[in-house]
This record gives sequence, C-alpha cells and structure tokens, in this order.
Amino acid sequence: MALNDSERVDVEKDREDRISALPKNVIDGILELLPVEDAARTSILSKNWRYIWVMLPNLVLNKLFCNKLAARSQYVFKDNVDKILLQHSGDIVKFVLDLSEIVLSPYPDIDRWMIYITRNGVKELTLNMSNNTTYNLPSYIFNCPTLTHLELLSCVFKPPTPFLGFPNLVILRLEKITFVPTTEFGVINAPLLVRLTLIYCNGTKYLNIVSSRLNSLVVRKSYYDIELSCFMNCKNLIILYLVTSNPIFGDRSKLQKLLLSLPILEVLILSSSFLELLSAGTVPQGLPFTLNCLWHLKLGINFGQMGQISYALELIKSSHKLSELEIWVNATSDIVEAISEYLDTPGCLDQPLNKLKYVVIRFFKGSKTELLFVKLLFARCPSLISMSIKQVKASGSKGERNIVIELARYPRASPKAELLYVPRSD
Amino acid sequence: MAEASSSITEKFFLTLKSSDGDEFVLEESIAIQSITIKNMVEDGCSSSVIPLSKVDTETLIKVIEYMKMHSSTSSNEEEIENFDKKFVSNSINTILNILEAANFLDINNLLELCAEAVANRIKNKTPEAVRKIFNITSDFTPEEEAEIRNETPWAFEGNLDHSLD
Repeated sequence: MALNDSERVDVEKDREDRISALPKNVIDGILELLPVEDAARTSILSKNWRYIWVMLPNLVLNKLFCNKLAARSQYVFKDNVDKILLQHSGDIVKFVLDLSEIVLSPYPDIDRWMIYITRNGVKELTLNMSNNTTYNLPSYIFNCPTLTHLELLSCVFKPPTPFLGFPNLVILRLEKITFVPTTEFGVINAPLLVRLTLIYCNGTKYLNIVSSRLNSLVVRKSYYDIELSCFMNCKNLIILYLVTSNPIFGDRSKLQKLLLSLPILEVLILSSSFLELLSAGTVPQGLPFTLNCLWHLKLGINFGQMGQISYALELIKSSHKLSELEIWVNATSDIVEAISEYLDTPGCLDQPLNKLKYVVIRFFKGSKTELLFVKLLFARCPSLISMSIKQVKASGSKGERNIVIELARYPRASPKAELLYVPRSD
Repeated sequence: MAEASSSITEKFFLTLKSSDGDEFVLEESIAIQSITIKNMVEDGCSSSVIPLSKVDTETLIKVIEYMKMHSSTSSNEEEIENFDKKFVSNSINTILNILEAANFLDINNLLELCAEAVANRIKNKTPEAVRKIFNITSDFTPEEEAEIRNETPWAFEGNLDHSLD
C-alpha cells in the first residue's frame, strides 16, 4: 500500500528517538523518579545515555536497595556503594542512605562515604541508621557548609569543638538521636533554620539551637526533657507541636513564657501532659496570652481532670481565629461530679466561637463529661459545619445507640452543623 | 456553563499560535497555568498573538485540554484524576511531545504527570525493551556493553520485563 507524503512523515516521526533529544533537565527529572537500579540501567541504552545517570545530582540509596545488596554480604554492599560514589561525576546535591535495616559494623565505611558526600556539594542529606546503633556523626557533617536539609535516624549527635553551627541549614529532622553533652556544648547557630523536628530523641536538653527564623517546631518524645529556653526568641513560629506520653515534671513558667512570646502562631498541638503542666491542676481565670493568629488547635485531654478541661476551654477562648479544633480523649471519668457541674454552667464558655467550623473528637469514650463538652460546643459555635466524633471502639450496643441519640438531640447554634459519628475502623 | 452569567469580573482572552500556524483563543485565567505565558502577560507582551514556535498544533490541543480540566473554575478531584489517568494513556510519542511543551511552557503539574508516565515505561524493563519503546538505537559494541554492565551489576539482575507495554 502506497503512503502519501504526510503519512510517510508521520511514520518517520514515529520512529524518531524523541526521548534522547529532550532537554537535560527533563531527562534528569525522569531519572529522578526511578529507583536507582532503573536509572543506572539507562547508561547502556546508547552513547547519548552513557553518562547521564553518573552525573545525576540526586543519589537515593533507599531501604529496598540497601537491603537487597546487604542480603548478599556486607562486603558486596560496601563494595558497591564505594563503586557508585567513585563512578559518580559532578556534585551530589541530594544523598539518601537508608541503613535502617542493616547492621554495618564497624563504621569507617560510612565515615568515608560521608567525607566524600560532604566534599561534593551536598545540600540535602538523609542518613538512616538501624535502631540502637552508636554511630557518632563525623565532624565532616557538622562542618559541611553547603547543607540545607539534614535528616538523621538513630545516630549519636556530638558536635566537634569548637562548632560554628549550620550556616545554611533550613530543615533539620532528627529521629531517635542521642545528644551527648560535651564540655563546650554551647549554642548551635542555625540562622536560616525554618523547620526543626525532634522525634523520640534522647538527651534533648543538651541541644541548644538558636534560629530566629524558625517557623515549625515539632517535638515528640516518650518523656520530656527539652530545653525550651532556646526557643524564646522564635517570634516567627507558626507551628508548635509538643507531644509526650508520660507526665512532665518540668518548668511550667517556661512553657507559659514560650506561648506568651509567639505572636504569629497558627497551629498548636499539645498532648494531655502539657495541658496538665500548664493548668497545674487548677481552673485558670483567663490566660496571660492570646493566640491571635491560631486557626488550628489539637489537644489531648484527660476528661477526668478539671484543670485540663478548663485550660483547654481557655485556650479555645483565647484563639479568636480558631476554625479547626481536634480533641484526643486521653482518658475520662464518669465519677467526677464537679467537672460535669462545671461544664453544665454557661460561664465556662461565656462567648460564642464565631470562627470555629470543624471539630473532630478522637478516641471518644462516651462519658458524661465528653458528652457535656460536645453539647457546649454545639451550643456555642454558630458557624459550625461539622462535628465528627470518632468512637474509640464500635460496639453497636444499646448504650452506644443511646449516646448517639443523646448527641443528636443537643441544640445546635449553627443551622448547618452536621454530626458525623464514626465507629473506629482500624 | 453557569459560571459566566454570575461572574462580575471581566474575562480576558489570549490567542496562542502553534508552530503549524493554528490559532487558539483561551481564557487568560486558564492559560496562566503556564508560567511562561504568565510572565509574558505580566510583561505586557500578550496584547497580540502569543507565538509558541516549539509547540505543534496536535500537542497544543492536548495541552489546552489539560489546562482547561485543571483550571480552578471547573471539575472536581475525581474528574481530574480520571482525566489524568486517561491522559497518560496517549502514545509515548505524544507524551514526549507534551512533556517537552510542558517544559517550555513551564506547567509544573503537567511536566510531572508526563515525566511519571515516561518513567513508568522505563521502570523494571530490559534495556532492549526500553530501546524499542523509545526508538533508541544502541551504538555500543558488545565489549562496551559488558563494561557498562560490570560497573553496576546490581542494575541488571532480577526478573526484568521484556514487554513493550
């Protein structure tokens, strides 16, 4: 069959090697979406592709890749990582090494890789070690001036002395890191640091990091030992997340002072232990601060503690822009008459919450105090759109049905407010 | 469409001209998903026709289809998701054309969508399959190929896919 001219052009076009002609940034972008094996395999496609992979600025050796090589032997793993780095050409801007499921000992190989990376322009570094390792972060990481993002898992954090700080660091995420005190463990300067996340770290009190640009501070711990003093000047904090599962025997005034000094805070998350610390078991008469920009508040509350409930209500009242409220029911009690009486008096929430639109209550247990709390919010939120209640366990019992009926009966200040009762599915 | 009648704000329109000379009139609010076009509008170069010398008619039609679907005034999330799914099932050459256009026009979502579609055609495939899919001609000798395989032996192991899907 004869083809006319335009059809012939189309067929020729279809046989054209279009991908090899794409701009370099586009090809790099495609390869960066691929696991390292697939990206490396493109080196064999043709001479055009020979050195594209070895020049990619991002090198991600993820858990899957590291586990696969290490399953052969430690030698195979180390040898191949050595080769990958030796073959690489140009800067490695982003480097991820996930050894969280491998025990590599001793550590000189990792030190060697870190020297190489930190001398080749790394900006984003992620190093995940396995649980309970005692890998001391080498000084090259601390002294690497190009770092903007640093994420570490299960390492020992002991800065060299003297330590000048992280001049360009923007994001620092530390999980299961042990901070070791040194004789001169002074202040760490990180003038550009915007986001600091500390998850289950040990010895947090030894971390004294100063950044006036910080806008997100996230601390999750099993026990509380953070030194809040260094965050007192973080006037730009937008997100504050403080969660710990155990009681705190800390410094109440410091936490209060911190909350007092956050003029633009938008998101606040506190676990029940922090509410207990702040309330000190008493019913507060107003708070010494207002949270003028806060729109999202998440609180863990023990509904058997008058102090926590009343402090939570004070926080809610002090947040004039609050539009989203989430409550985790930490514990509850049916026998505390005083709390029920308190929640039943209109004075405990004497102003309408005009901006509040969404309320979520998690781990709802259906006690009288919880019910009264919901009743209060229904009555005081004229703009409420939804009240979603997530039951701690779905029983389908008569008692539970009665609770739902009770919840549905409460008068609602907002005509469009919906009650969503969700049995826990997981 | 309902949105036109109640809208108070005046609508501006732009004319885009493909490399084949075809002209397309498009609402400015839709067209400025392209940062390249947005910059032109801000620099005041949009009063006449905007020539897109690197984008042919067939590709421009697809790009406009995409921008219309993704513009804020229309379509819900599910619709967009289904549209994207169908969009990436275009032939690989069409996808590559759109990818290059998206890069030139600086439409980040579209660039990511197409890059992902291309990456999916490389993932887990043998080099032979990748060459066939993308019309790449190997210019290596067997010795050179062996050398490359030796550099990263871990990249050539396992059950790689020979199919051309």
